[in-house]
Amino acid sequence: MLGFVVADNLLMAFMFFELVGLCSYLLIGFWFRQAGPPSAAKKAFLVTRFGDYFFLIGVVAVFATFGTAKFAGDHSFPHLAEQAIQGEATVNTFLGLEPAAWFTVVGLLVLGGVIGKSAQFPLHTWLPDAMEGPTPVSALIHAATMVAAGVYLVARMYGFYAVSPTAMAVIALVGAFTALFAATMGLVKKEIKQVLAYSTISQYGYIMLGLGAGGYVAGTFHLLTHAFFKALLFLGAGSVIIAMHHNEDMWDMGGLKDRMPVTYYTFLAGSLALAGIVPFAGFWSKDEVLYEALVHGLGTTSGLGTALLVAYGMGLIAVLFTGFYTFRMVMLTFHGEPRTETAREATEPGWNVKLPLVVLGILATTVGFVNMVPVKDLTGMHIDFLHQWLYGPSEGGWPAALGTGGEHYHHLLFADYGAGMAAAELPSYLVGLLSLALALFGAGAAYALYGGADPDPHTDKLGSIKDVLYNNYYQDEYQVWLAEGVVLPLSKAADVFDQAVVDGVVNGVSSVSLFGGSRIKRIQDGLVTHYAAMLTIGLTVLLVGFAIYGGWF
Amino acid sequence: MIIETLIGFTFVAALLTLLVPDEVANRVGAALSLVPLVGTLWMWTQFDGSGNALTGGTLSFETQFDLLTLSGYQVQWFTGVDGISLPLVVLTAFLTTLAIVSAWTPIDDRQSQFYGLMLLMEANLLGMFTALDFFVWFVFWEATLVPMYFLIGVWGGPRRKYAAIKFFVYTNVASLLMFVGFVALTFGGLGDSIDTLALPEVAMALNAGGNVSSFMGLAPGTLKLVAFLAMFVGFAVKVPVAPLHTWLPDAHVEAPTPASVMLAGVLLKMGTYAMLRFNFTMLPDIASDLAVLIAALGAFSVIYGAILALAQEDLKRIVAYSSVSSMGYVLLGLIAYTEFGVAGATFQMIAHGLISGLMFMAVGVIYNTTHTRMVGDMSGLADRMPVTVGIFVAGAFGYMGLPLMAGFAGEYFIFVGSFHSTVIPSAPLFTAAAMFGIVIVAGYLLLAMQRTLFGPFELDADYEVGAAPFHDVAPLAVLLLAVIALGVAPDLFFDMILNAIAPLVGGGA
Repeated sequence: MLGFVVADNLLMAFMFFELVGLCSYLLIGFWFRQAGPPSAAKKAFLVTRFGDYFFLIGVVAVFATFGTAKFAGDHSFPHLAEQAIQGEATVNTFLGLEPAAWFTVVGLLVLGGVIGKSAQFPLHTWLPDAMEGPTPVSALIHAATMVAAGVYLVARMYGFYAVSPTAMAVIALVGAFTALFAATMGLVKKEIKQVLAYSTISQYGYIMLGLGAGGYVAGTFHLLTHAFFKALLFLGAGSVIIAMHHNEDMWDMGGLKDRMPVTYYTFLAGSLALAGIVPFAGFWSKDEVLYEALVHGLGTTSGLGTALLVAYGMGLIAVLFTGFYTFRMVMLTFHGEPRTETAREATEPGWNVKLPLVVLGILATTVGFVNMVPVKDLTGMHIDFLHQWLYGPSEGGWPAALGTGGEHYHHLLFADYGAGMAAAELPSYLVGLLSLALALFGAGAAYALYGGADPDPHTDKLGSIKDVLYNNYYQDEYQVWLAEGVVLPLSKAADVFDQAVVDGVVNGVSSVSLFGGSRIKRIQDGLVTHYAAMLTIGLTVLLVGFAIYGGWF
Repeated sequence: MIIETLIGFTFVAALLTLLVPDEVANRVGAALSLVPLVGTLWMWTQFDGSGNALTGGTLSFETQFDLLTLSGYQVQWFTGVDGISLPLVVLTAFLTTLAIVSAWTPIDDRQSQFYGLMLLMEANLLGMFTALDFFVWFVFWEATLVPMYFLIGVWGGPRRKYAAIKFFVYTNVASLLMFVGFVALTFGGLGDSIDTLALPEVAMALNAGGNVSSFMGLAPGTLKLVAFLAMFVGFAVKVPVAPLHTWLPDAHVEAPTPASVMLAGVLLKMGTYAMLRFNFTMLPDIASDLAVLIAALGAFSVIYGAILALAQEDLKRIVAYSSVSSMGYVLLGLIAYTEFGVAGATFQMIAHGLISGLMFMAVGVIYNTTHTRMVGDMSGLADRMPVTVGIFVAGAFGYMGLPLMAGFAGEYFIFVGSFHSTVIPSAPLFTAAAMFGIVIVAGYLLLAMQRTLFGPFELDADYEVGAAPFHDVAPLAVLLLAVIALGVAPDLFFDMILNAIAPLVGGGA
């Protein structure tokens, strides 16, 4: 993972991207003696491999196009792409495409890897299954770091995407749709880690939305805050699962608040951050994401603007759902009366579990303060530290040398040869208030429905909608069907074809020659009279043949 | 003279091993095979050649003297290595030693004959990869078939006779076709303009242009096309290129593990090596004309082989079909005619030799222990043989092209090379199509591993299943180390390969 983050070129990034995939495979399959984990591990690797297929084509295409895969500097591929679009540099393009169109194709190919690794629709199906692995693995790899590799890559080569409005629109729409789509599935889950898994998918959707909407700082900011509060939530869930003797069903929990106070309060901090309640970390970052989507959506006149507005709408609805599923989880797990014997007897694990929770709890509460844009806008204080860090010094320094500063990206996004964005004027705190209200409404609804001593399974009232949500819109079914119902029978058919036809021809040829040989050998039957007849016939045929060929007649 | 010494020594070693008692033959064979291994590694450290052997490059360890005159041609003993052949020579010696050690467990009768034949095959392979005179080369080329025929036919599985005869006849008919093609091109086409059939002389005469005359009513262009096709088909059987591959799964399934290792690891490379030397070096203009067809065949082999592997229930058949798939990449790289494409293809020959050898050996070790290779018959082996399974998993990921392992380097070079090929029309599309192989390969290997290695332990056996003996696992570990070494530092071979490829794709001398 460190290798991936410090990689200075796309090839190295790809290599480490694959190696973390291997680690993920091995860690998901950690309990290899059971049946479930190896299957989940296989699925995780295979689904991400499908994305990596496109990524690898992208890497190869970048090399073939630019002759380099460096991320930064004057000879980097984003820089060359920018120059090529303005006609200041020539690069190889393929399939008869103009530079701009070809760059979009290449960018979307690389995006395939991003979608697989960051579990975006439609390659998100592996992540919930990956929760078969040990919970610390879920916290570290499948929430905070490895899954982040995808969106990190978008941020890393942001200059390349920023010149393509189509790519930006795709990123924003995929992200926003995933955010909404995954949040709806999180609403009805029974198992605590499943809720968190869908929440992770949803939050990575927000990061994609932020990046696609031109919010370079917003996207990376949410990446940062999410890592803390989601790792916290997973470790908190791990603590609960230990106390529950590996029962993950939230309907078997309840009332754990008093039995495990450290876990409860840290988990609550993480939940508030996830739901986006002020002043916890998630509020600042998620609102900046939504703010960027809205102002750029309103400001941009091209199709990209419409796409961003649609994306904003989906992101906003997802805020409501996020608040709801988060607090449904908190209420079911920690509030009310214990619903099983195990929950009544639960004891909090030792400090080796609690200490990380406390550390992450503090960070989940405070890390948002590094970039309080609404407060800056209200008070005029320059406290948007992350923003300043990513923009770098305005004169000279690394942004000018590397071309990876926020200023440059901003320039690209707004340039007419770039994404062609424009920003509307809107006060950030008003936009923030709207989503805060929605989040509070969602959380409040969850409290009202599940806050009682013995809550009912209200989602059952949704009827068939619940079934659809609970079964993940049958996404897994169709992908399994693709693998087992289409590809496997196809391969069996190909095998039959290969054995019967391709090999049949080979064996046929040999049979024909064997058969022919067995017949021809009868000519040599040992009877001298037959041989004499043969000789005569042969000589005659030869003579006639020569005669015709030689023109004797 | 080092090449002659090593070939001669290996022949003598084969004879010696044939004569020792069966009880000691395994150790004698292994010990004797160390000599060519050390010798070829020494050659690798001392290698000072540059350029391509067939286009006037400087050979390393060159020997050349006249043997006899044959229908107007001077037959020569002419050997030497360049950056293309030396890696294959090292691969041959390396895999032979490991294959011999891997035979200690499964081979339990007529050991002295078995190890003698293994060494005989090594001697012929060394000769085949180093000979530069057509006559001598062809003798070695054909002579490799004989030991392999016996290895499959005597020590093989239940259908060994069928498999051995199919292997022998199929590849032998192909050799005949190739021979006719080459002879038509040289005797017929080049005629008196050359006085030896030394491969460099033939290649340079053909590439000089205008030398080819009509033959048997065929215009020079047509003659070259016909010769190209005859040689291509002849070599394609060996590679094997789908749809000429059906001898391979039968041969592999029936062959004993060490023979499979040699078959997949080295013998398949004879086909691509010869294609590179003959078709792509001697007749590049014809190759370019047929680029669409050849690239399509390469991509087809990749996908078709992978899809067939997905359908198999026998671990050895899975690995066998995956060889068809991997060798398809080599074909795609060769036809790209870019530096990275052709050099990547050559590198992939080495990488695939090591990785497929590793996989066949790992399947063999599992078979030694479980006495079954059927995926449905076992599960959870990781519980009982953790080291073997660990190496199996690592090897499988190598096959899937995990970075920092040799397979990734080879495939990546090929993809980059073929993507921007100017010879193949719509090269990116062909490349992207072939690349889909990396998804299917992950599918069938992960599925097979999930079913056999992981989950609860199950095997219908009336004995205690335990870890494999050290001499079964050691060759696996050595191979895995080699795969990783070449993945981390491809330049161990890639530099010399690039150097030998450059003249073929319009680079320097």
